[in-house]
Order: sequence, then C-alpha cells, then structure tokens
Amino acid sequence: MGLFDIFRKKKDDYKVEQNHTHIEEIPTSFENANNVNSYSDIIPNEIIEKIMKINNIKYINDLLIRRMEKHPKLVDLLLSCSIPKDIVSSLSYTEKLDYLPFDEEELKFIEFFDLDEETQKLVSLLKNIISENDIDDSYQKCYVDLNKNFETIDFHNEIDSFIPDIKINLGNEILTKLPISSSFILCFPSSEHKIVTHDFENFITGNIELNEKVVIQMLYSTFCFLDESVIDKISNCKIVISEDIKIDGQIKNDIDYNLVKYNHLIYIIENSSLDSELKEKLLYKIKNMYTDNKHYLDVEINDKIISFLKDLDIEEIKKLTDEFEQNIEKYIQKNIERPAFNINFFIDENFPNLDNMSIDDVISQINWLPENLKLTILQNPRILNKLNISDKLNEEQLKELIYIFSTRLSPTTIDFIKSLNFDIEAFMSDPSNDYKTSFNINPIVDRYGVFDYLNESAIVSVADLLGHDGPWNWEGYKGKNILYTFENFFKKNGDGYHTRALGLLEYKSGEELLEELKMRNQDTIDMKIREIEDGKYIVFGNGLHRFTVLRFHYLLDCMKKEKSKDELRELYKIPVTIDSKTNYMKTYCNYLIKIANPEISSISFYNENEIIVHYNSEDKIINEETLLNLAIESIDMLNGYYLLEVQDFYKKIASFHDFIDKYIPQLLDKFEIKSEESIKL
Amino acid sequence: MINLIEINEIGDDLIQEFKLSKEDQLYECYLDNIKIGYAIIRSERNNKIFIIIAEKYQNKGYGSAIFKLLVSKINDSFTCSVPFENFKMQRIVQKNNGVEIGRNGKEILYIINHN
Repeated sequence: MGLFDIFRKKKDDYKVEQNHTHIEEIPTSFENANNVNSYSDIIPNEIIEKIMKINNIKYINDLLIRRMEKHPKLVDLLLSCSIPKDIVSSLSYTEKLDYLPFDEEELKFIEFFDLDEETQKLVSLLKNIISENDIDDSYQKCYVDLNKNFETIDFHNEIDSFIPDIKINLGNEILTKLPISSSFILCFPSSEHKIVTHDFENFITGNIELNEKVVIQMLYSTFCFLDESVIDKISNCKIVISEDIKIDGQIKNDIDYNLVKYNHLIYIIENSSLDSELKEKLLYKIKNMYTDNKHYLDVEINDKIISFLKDLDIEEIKKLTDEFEQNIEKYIQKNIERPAFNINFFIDENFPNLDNMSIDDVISQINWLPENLKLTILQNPRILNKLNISDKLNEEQLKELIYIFSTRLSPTTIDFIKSLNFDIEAFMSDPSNDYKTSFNINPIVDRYGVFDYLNESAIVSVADLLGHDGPWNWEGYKGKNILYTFENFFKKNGDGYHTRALGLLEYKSGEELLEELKMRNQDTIDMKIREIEDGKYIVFGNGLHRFTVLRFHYLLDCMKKEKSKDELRELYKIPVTIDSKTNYMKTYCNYLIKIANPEISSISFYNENEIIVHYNSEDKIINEETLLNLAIESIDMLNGYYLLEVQDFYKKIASFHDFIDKYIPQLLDKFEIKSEESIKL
Repeated sequence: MINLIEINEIGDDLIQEFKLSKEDQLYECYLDNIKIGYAIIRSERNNKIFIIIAEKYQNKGYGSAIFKLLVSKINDSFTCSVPFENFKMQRIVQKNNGVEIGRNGKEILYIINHN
C-alpha cells in the first residue's frame, strides 16, 4: 500500500457541510497533531496525483507510515510542504471545501506549516532512495560505521614467499579501515576503489568519499532513526532501504596472493643458477601444482620444490626477489598456464624410483590413473620395460591390458593369461568360472559333515572337481573367479610353496598339461579329493597347484566351445585318491540334533557303534539307530528360525531332500510346502 | 631349531590371558634363542592343544613343528577342536595324522592317534 493510499478518499464517504459560513480562504495553523484520523481520509485522489507529478516522488514505501504515527508533522508535511501553496491557491472555493482538510473546531481549512530541520533533512533523503536492483553490477559492497569518522592508515604491504625468511614487498598504500559488521553497507564503484584484506582486517583502498556515486544500504528501522550527523554525511549518497543487511560470501580481494607467491617462486627458479634440467623439472611441477589448485599444500611445496633450492645462495634469492618486486604490478596479474604434458616428468612424479618398484605397485599405481593417462603411460617404453612387455601395443591391446590391471590379478597370473589368447573379460565376468567351497556345494556338510574315509583310487573328471576349502578368504577379497586363486599357489620370486609348481603355467592348453601330468604320474602323489555331494568334489589335502591350473584350462575350454561338454568331461579325467565322502545320514542327523539341542556341544563319530554325544555336563555313547531316533525327536524342538532354514535346505539340497523323505517324512507336515512341490537342485 | 620350554610357575597374567586351569601345561616356544609364541596342553577334553605364534613368525612351518613336539609329550591319543576359520591349524592337524571325527557348526573335531 502506498503512503498516500490511506489518504485516498472514497468520494462517497465524503460529507460536505454545506452550511459552513465562517470558512476562511487563508489557511491557519493546525494544532491537533494527534488526530490523524480526523482528516486521514479526506485527501482526494486527484490531489494525490497532482502532488506526485509535481514532486517526482518515485519511491515512498508504506513503512514510512509508521513514522507518521509518531511524527504527525510528517503527515502535515504531506499535506503542507508536499502540497505547494500554489496548488492550494489554485483550488477554487468549492474544491477547497471538497478536498482540503478542515478543522471543525476552529472552523477553518487546515493550514500548512514547516517541518523541523531534522525531519526535513530525513525527508529530503527520500528523494535519494533507489531500488536495490538499481545498484550497478560493477559496485563492490562493504560494511561501514557511519556513526564514526573513517579511519585511514598508511599500510606497508608485504607477504611471506614460499621460500623461508624471504618476503615479497607489494608496496605502500593508503587504506580506509572497515568494520567487520555494521548496520550500514557501503556500495561503491570498483573503478574508484578496491577492497583488500590484510591480517584478517578489511580495508578500502584510498580515502572514500560519500558522494553521489556511492550507495548506502540500510534497514527501514535504521533509516527512521538516523542521527542528524549521519544524515548530513550521506545527504549526497543514494539510499537503498532493504529488508536484510548482509554481505553474502567472501569480500572480494583484489590481489591473489597465491598467484604472486607462485610467480615469485617461478621467477626465482627461472633466473637462478640451478642446472637447466632441474629448472625444467621444478617449473613443470610448480605450474602443475598451481593449476591443480594445490595452493593449500605447503608441505607439497616444501617437499617437492623448496628442498631443491637449498643449494642456492640466499643473496642470489634476495637479489632476484628485488628484481621481481620492481615489476610487481605485472606479476600481481600474471596468470600461470598449465604446462604441456611431459610423460617423463609425470612418470618421475607418480612412479618414484620406478626401477625399484615392484610390478604389483606399478600396476596398482596405473589403476589409480584416469583412463586417458593409462593409455599414455602404457605406451611409454620405461613402463613397458618395467612390466616386461616387449612389443608396442595397439589400442585394442592397450585397452585389454588396462582391463587386466583393473582386475588386480597378481603379476604372475597376468603373465600367465597374457601368454594365452582368450577373452579375459568374458572369462572373468562369467560366474560359472568361480571356484566353489564345501559351503557353496552343501552348507550343511560344510558345517556338520561326517565323512566315511575311503582312501580309494579313482578316475574323476576335472569337470566334477569344483574347488577346495582353504584360507582363501584373504583380506581385500577381490572375487571368486578361479584366476584369483592363482596367487595363492604361483608367485615368481615367492617362497618354495609358490614357486615349486610354476612349471605348470608353461603349458598353453589343458591337453598339453594333461599329457605332461600323465607322464609324471608315477612320480607324483595323486590329487586327494573329498566327495561332498554325489558327483561333486573338492580337492582335499593334496594337489591344489595341479587342480588350479587344470580347472582353469577346463573352464577355458568350456568357454571356447571347440569341444562339447561331454568331450571335455572325458578329456579331463585324471587319477585321484578319494580321501572321504559324506555320510549323509550321520551328517544330517548331526545337523538336526545340534540345532535343536543347545545343551549338546558336539557329537564325535568314531565308528558306527561309537558315537559320543557330548552334553555340557556329560558324554553319552550311542549307536546309529539311537542317533537317528534322536534326530527324529529333535524335529519337535525346532524353533521357527531353524524350521525355515531346514525347509530352505530341503528345497535346495538334493541329498538332504532324499534323507528327509526317507527317514523323517513327518517333518514335511511342519513345512509350508509338500514334498512333490519342492524344487530339487 | 624349534624347542619348547615348560613354564612351571605360571604368572597370573598368563593364567588370565590363556584362561588356564591348574592342570594345564604351558610352554614357551623358541626358534633358536628367539621366543616366537606359546603352546598349551589343556587337561580338559576336546581341546588338548593350543598354539599361539606371533604374526611375523607365521606361515613358516613352525606351527607344524610345535604341534609335533606337543603330540610327542602326550602319550595317548587325544582330540582337539579347531574353529572353521583357523585354516592354518586345520592343515597342521591334517598333516600330523589328524582325523576328522565331527563338526558342530563352529569347529572341526579331530582325533590324533598317538603312534
């Protein structure tokens, strides 16, 4: 609502006293200053519009109404000073009757009179009010305390360089001190002054003058109660009344001190007596550090640059610094460009002491690089030489190598797979090429297995040798693909266990390897295996090296599909010793009894007539028949969680399914599904 | 060379650390003159032997050697249980004629027959 709006009269509301006969044409003093409402609704719209046109008051906001409640004279101002006498005198008698405020007690038209000086001054500021949107984009903002005089100082601007004990002199300047916060914001053209920060204090360069180029921003509440001295100070300034006084973000500092420091360091190195090769390297590092935005890493500067300057004479550095200061204006602005990529410097930086790095560490470092850099690095002779790659690689080969490195396979394994020609990514992403543990084949057997010891010779296909149990849950588990297990058995420059079978990696195909093993057969102890489920074996106790390589070749041949699965199954048959096989009845009884009876710590199976049940307080010797009965009794004690587990195993494990159907069919009543509905895997 | 030295007077700290009872036997394990760990022969059933080797001496076959020495001190067949995750101990027991006699969901039970 505009200020004048409350004074806008609705014509219908106005009542004209037609019978006043004592009306005087010359206005007299108005004394009842508090009775705003008595005339507040009688200024006609036409008068308002005339006033606004004459005085060009563009901005009067409704907040000033509050001022009028306290200072009715301001109202009078609008009625009197704002309404020039020539307007009043131009009104006819009828118009005066119709439009001018009338004091009914004194029976006269309300007379206009002057404002006091302070109010006049404040009101005169109204003419200077502009919108916040009108503040030019090139203006800078800062806080000022207008209740005090500006404080200026003569500042000697000196900063520390990166080099210890060496300072850079940026010259003297007159600065006007600024407060940290205030109820006034000063906006000034950037072309006239700058804001600078020294020692955590803010300044304006030079002496600031409060003239028509300057804008003062404040809250309404501040404006209404401006001190007369402040009004005088800012009488020529533009005014912005805001709802919020806050300078967002950092005050913009004109000088980029880091740029000056880096330029100083670059100048010193470029013009020093250092060896040219060292200069080139240092300049490359510095420019990369600056353009990488590593300004905060003083430790890096110290370690990578300053340490190399320690041989320079301090007098040389001081002399060069003096030269630098003479052209300081240039160096304050001088931008530092990123240098062209230099592969040798990059390698020195990221592969320190390359000759002594392990291949593992080199591969690990390559894996950290962005893709484009990986391609570049893998074309560098030094790196290829380190990785024992003698040929130059085309783009496809490079991409394959990058993939291989990303798998984090061991260097020995990488050498092995590179010597064969196959799609490594396809092999590693196929889960059927994972090795299995007992737990993967049958989790009940893994945790509760009871085995019959056979120690029998047999011929078994590698197709049915699925994996092994062992300490292969290494930290930083990479994956279960069989290639990941190679590093547990094969490592060039490793200990005896890891080098004794490296020869197995020389063979380019499974067929070749099988031929060789056949020839060695008489000198080698057969692989020892354990049957977990019917026809599913793990290697147990002996032959892990052979198994790993054979199983890999078998899976690779499956992927290649040059032979059928049946042909491969036949081809990969090898002599083994079956150490043991699962006794399903004992295993599943052991499982059911254990999960249903927490008071039983374990059951030892010596032979069919010597099964010892270890209760917490005593041991009991039982036979197989009693064992089975105990298992049958246990099903009534299965709680909800274990019942669900048993049901799940019934669905998924063929031998367990058969055991339940044969020995404990009554358990099915407890399940949610019937036997014929289950899915055998 | 690995050798075992029995501790006759076991301090409270070791009793607490290894949860020993009066009947248990505690040995210090030495590689030449360097102490590399401890070995315990417990009197209670199902866990006769307990071997602890400092990490930097692991994976060198010392556990197996210590196990053999302990077996020789027990003049009888005995059982021991090894947690599933302790693969190293499982291999030591297997290599020393340990025969599996059961699993209880947490451990593997072995019997080692004294020859």
